[in-house]
Amino acid sequence: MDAQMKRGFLEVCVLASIGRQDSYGYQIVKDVPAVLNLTESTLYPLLKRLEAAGLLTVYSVEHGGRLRKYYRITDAGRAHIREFLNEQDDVMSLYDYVKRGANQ
Amino acid sequence: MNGTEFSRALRRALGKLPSHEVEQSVAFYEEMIADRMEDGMREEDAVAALGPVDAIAAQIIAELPPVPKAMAKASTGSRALNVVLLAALSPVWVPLALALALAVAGVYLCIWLCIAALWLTVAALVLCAPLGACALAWGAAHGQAAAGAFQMGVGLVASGVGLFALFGALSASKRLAGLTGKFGSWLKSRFVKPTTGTAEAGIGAGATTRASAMGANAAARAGIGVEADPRAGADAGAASGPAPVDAEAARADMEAEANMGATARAGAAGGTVASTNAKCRKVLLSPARKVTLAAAAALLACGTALALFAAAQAGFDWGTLVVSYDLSVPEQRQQT
Repeated sequence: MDAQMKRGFLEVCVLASIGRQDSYGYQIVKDVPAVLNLTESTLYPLLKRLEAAGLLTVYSVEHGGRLRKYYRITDAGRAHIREFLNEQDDVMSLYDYVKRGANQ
Repeated sequence: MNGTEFSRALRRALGKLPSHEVEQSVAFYEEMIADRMEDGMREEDAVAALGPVDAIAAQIIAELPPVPKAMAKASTGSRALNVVLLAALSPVWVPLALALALAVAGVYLCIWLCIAALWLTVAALVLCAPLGACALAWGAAHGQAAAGAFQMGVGLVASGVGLFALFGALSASKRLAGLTGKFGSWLKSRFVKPTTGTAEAGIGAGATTRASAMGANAAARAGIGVEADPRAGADAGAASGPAPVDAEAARADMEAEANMGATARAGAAGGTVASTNAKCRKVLLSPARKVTLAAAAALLACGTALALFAAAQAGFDWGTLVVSYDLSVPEQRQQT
């Protein structure tokens, strides 16, 4: 997938993955659709940005003798997802426009 | 490479970053390795799956604010070498750092001096009324009542002007004080990332999702404006989320060439624009301000009337009206 397109979807997909249930780093990497090619080195700064923006919160849970960081979506994060979904019609109309251009 | 070696390599690659940043990053990746191993991977494969250490470090450094980023990039691998280089190059960077610090102090000083100058002007103008009263008293005592009255009139007019100028000084001081705040935040942002809940980071996240450079620019400018205005910042950070702010961000870019104030208003949640204007009007017409305005108008009117009356009495002879005062000590005056 085009790098610019990927950037557009990554944040909201990570939010969506956390939105379904509180999740931790590796779980998010496995959860997010493979087509986005999400790696740890991309995920880490992304999670920090989302936390700084108040779209998610972090808490630690003890797991097998170590601390595991869980991420939970906030109301602002859910609003962010809703806003993204509201743009679906616009995005589809853009695809139609490109398709019409391709057919000519 | 096993987990411990990876952590060590990552720590070394992250070099001069603040220690909590380093520890956070290392902890994140160690957790990833542990989770992968839990899934059944071998340690070496788990580490290999993370990719090259340099790429990871580069990603982390790229997300830093400018000053820590530059420090991280300049850092060599070894701590000892860093210290030696720092010491050896001190004749270069110490004067530079001092000069920069003085420049920053200079900016603050300029702004505060402007504010001080404004208030001194207002004070000087307002003090003209008591001075005028003294002139009147002196004039009456020395048989030059007309001159005294004229100068009292002028003093009253100046006082009235001063009271009007009071409002200008107040709003100008607020704007200038706001400038110091904005400058301070900008300075801070060179060193430290914005903290949770500020609209600036929120807008930044939204803008990069749209992958639009224009949006990011507008967001950055709108973010600075919003951050400086606490009211707008609180509104934007509320549960309404980045949605209304994003809508304004595009508009803010078109107004980007306008002054900071306009950008700040555009950057605030759309609804607060009207309420900000309404608040301005309310504050302007508060009882205290109405009284001051009335007093100023009264002073202007009375002063002008008195001055004109006194001048008329003296037949508009400016020589008599504009008296020079002998402020020497009485004993000295008697001796001459």
